[in-house]
Amino acid sequence: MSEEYIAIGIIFGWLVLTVSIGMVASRRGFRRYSSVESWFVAGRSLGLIVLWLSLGANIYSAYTFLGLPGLAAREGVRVWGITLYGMLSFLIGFLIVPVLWSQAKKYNWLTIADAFEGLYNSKLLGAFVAVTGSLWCIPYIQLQIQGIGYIIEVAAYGHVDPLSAKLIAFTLIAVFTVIGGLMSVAFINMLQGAIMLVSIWVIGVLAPIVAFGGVDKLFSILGDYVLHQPRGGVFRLTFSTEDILWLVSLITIAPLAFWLWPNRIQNVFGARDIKTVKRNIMLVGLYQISQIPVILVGLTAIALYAVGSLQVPVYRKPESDYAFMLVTCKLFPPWIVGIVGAGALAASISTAAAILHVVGALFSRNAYQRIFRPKASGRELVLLARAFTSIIAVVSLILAIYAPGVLIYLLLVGYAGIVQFFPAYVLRVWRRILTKYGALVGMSTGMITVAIVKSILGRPFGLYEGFWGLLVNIPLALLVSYIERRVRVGEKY
Amino acid sequence: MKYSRGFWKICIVLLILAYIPIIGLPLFNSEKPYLAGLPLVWFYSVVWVILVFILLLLVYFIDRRIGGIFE
Repeated sequence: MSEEYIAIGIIFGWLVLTVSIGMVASRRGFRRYSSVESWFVAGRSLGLIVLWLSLGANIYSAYTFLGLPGLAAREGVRVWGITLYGMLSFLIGFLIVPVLWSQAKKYNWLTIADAFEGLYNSKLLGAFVAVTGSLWCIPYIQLQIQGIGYIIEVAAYGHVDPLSAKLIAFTLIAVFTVIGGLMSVAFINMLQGAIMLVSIWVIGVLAPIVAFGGVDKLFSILGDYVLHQPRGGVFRLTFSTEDILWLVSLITIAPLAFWLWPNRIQNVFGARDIKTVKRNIMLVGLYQISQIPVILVGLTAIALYAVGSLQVPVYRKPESDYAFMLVTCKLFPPWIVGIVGAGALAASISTAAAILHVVGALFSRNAYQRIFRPKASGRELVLLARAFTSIIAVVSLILAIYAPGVLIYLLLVGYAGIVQFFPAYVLRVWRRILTKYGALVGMSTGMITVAIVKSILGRPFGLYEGFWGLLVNIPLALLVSYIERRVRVGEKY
Repeated sequence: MKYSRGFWKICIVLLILAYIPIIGLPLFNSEKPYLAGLPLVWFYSVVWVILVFILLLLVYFIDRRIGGIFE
C-alpha cells in the first residue's frame, strides 16, 4: 500500500470512529436530559476528565497544530506572545470563570448572551452579544477549515485535492454538530483531546532530535539562518522594539477575551459543579505547556529549509502554516503521519464543531426567541439553531476558499473582537458601573474600531488591534453610562 | 458566589508577579548566552510560561485551602 493511502486511511478511519462514538453518546444523552438543556450545556453533567479533555480540544485547534508552528517558522521569537497570553488567560480565568458558572447555574443561563441579558436585564443587549459573538467566531471557524485543508493536502502527499478534503471533513462535522449537541461534542472532543496531546508531545520532542540531534544544533543553524535568510524573511531570534510593544499589548489584552469566547464559556457551563470548574482551569494549563514542543516543530521546519532538506519555502505565508505536517512527513513514516494528521484534524474539527454548535444556540435562543418569538417551543429553537449553524458553516467555508488568511492572525482578529465584551461584563458585575446603553455603545464602537484598525490602518505602533478597540470602547461606555444615569435622574424630578 | 477579601489581595499579588517579567524582557532580550541549548530570551520566555503555570497552581491550592471563592 502506498504511503498516502496509509496516512489518509488512518486519518479518516479515526474521524469516522469518533463521529460514530459521538452520535451514540448524543443519543444516550438525550434519554437522560431534557432536549434543550442537553443540546446547549449537556444537562450540566460533565465531570472532570470529560470536561478537561473536551475543553482542551475545544481551545487547542488548528492554531496549535498549524498556526503556532507556522508563526515560529516564519517570525521566530514573536511566537512567545501567543503561548504567554494563553497561560495568563488561565490565571485570570480562575478569578472570573467560577463566578460566571455559578451565576449561570443560579439563573439558568445557557449561553454567554444569556449572561449579558441577565446582568443588564436587557433582551436587546443579549441579542447584540449573540449576533456579534457569532460573527466574530467566523474567522475562528475559517481558521479550522483552512487548517483541515492543509493537513489533508500534506498527509496525502499531494494526491488529494484540498478543496474536496475540506468539503468532506467539514460536511461530516457540520452534520455531526447539527445532529448532536454539547453532549456529543463533549464526547468527541474528549477523544480528540487525548490523541492531540500524544501527537504534540511525540512529534515536538522527537523532531529536533531526529533532524539535528537536539536543540543545540537546531539553534546553531537558526543563528546562521537569521543572518542569511532569503529576501522577504522576517525570522528573528530576539525581539525588535515593535515586537515588544505587540507582545505587551497582546498579553495584557487577549487574556481578557479568552473565557468570553461563546464556545468556551458554554463548554464550562456544562460542568457538574464549581469544583470541576476550578480544577479544569488549573488542569487545562497543562495543555498550554504542550505548546512548547509545538514551537520546536516550527523551528525544525525552518532549520530544515535552511539546510536544504525541505524544499517548501516555509519562511513565507501561507507555506509557513504547513510547517508541522511537512516536518512530520519529512522525518517520520506514513503511519505516524496518519496518527498525527488524525490528531491535528481532530483538533480542528472538534473546535469547529464546538463553535458551530454554540453560534446556533446563540442565534436561536438569544436573538430569535428573545426578540421575535418569545413563545417558541424547545423543538423550534433546536431546529433554528441547526439551520443557523449550517449558514455560518457555509459562510466560513466560502471565506476559507476565496479569502484565506494566516492562521494565527485569523485567531487574533477574533480575540480582538471578542475582548470588546470584557468591559461590559466586568464593569457590570463589579459595582454595576455601566448601564445598558453605555455597554451597547462601548461594545459596538470597540468592534467597529477593531475592524477599521485591522482592515485600513494596519497595526499602528505595532500595538494589537484589541488594544485600539478597548481604547475607544471603555471611555465611550463610561461616558454614555454617565449621561444615561443623569437623564434618568432628571426624568425623576 | 463570593470571594474572601484576603483571597483577592493574594490574587492581585500573584497577577502582578505573572506580569513582572515584562520589565525584565528588554534586559534579557539577547541571543547569548545560550542556556539549556536555548538563546537567552527564549530560555527567559520558557521560564516565564512555567512561572505563570506555577502561579496558577498556587492560586488553585490557596483557594482550596482558604476557600477563596465560595458559594
